[in-house]
Amino acid sequence: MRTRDWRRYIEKCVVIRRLKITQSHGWYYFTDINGRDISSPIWSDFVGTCVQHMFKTYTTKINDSKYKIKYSPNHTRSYWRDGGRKGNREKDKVIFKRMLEYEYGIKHFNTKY
Amino acid sequence: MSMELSTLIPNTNDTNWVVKGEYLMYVKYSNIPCAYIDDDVVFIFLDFKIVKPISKLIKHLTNKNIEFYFDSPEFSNPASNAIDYNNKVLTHYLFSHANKNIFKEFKEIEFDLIKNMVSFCDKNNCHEILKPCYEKVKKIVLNKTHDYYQNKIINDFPDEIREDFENLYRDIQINRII
Repeated sequence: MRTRDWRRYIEKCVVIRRLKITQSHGWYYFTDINGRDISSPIWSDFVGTCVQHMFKTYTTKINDSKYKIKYSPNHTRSYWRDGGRKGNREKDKVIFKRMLEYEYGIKHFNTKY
Repeated sequence: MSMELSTLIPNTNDTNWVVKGEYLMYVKYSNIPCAYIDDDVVFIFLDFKIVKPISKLIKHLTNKNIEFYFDSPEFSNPASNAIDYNNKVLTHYLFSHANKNIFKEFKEIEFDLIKNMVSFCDKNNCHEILKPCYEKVKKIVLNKTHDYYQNKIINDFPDEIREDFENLYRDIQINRII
């Protein structure tokens, strides 16, 4: 059953996975939440910072999809949401709204996503 | 009779509190060291990552009348350098007093961090270092920056903490006399 506990657990896994990706770019000095400068941070040093808070968003959009990995229970592996594929939900939406605007003359206030 | 770490856990139903080796830890994504016991005195790592669990721990210890002091989370790493220990711990005390989350939480549970800091100084005989540490932190807390675009003066810390910091050394001296 996908209960609240399950969702919380999966969110935790997703955040840790995303933090571990940032760990690999640890060549710069990183100031953690306690004000310490760490030369090569590991993923647990990011806990409590705005980076961790940013990664807490469970869903991905087109803007942040290149930094995040999408979790899917139906796939065996997690995958990149927007890996240069055609037929994405977001891309389809843009095409559909442009079609409405240019072919049918129905304007929408926001065509870009 | 020596104290056990498992007795320090404020809420036994909470599974996030874990005892591992010499440390009491709290699980927030990873195991974050919270406290350890040295000569029947509890030392708490005042980590800004877990402010609420630490405030619960302090409340629990004050209710039980257990002696405790704070430590910098830098020393939770066994590979850390213990040179200039007192100086680092005292600056962390003052910085944590300036932290708005800790300031708010300790105000709620009515815990006096400055009193604890003075008793730490009494224990380690380091009153001489306290004044330079205070002046160093005060300079950072009372720092102002001018925003030229909005023509405004911006403070890094809230006004409540800034006002408190201006007369903090007087409070330290009063606590020392008492």
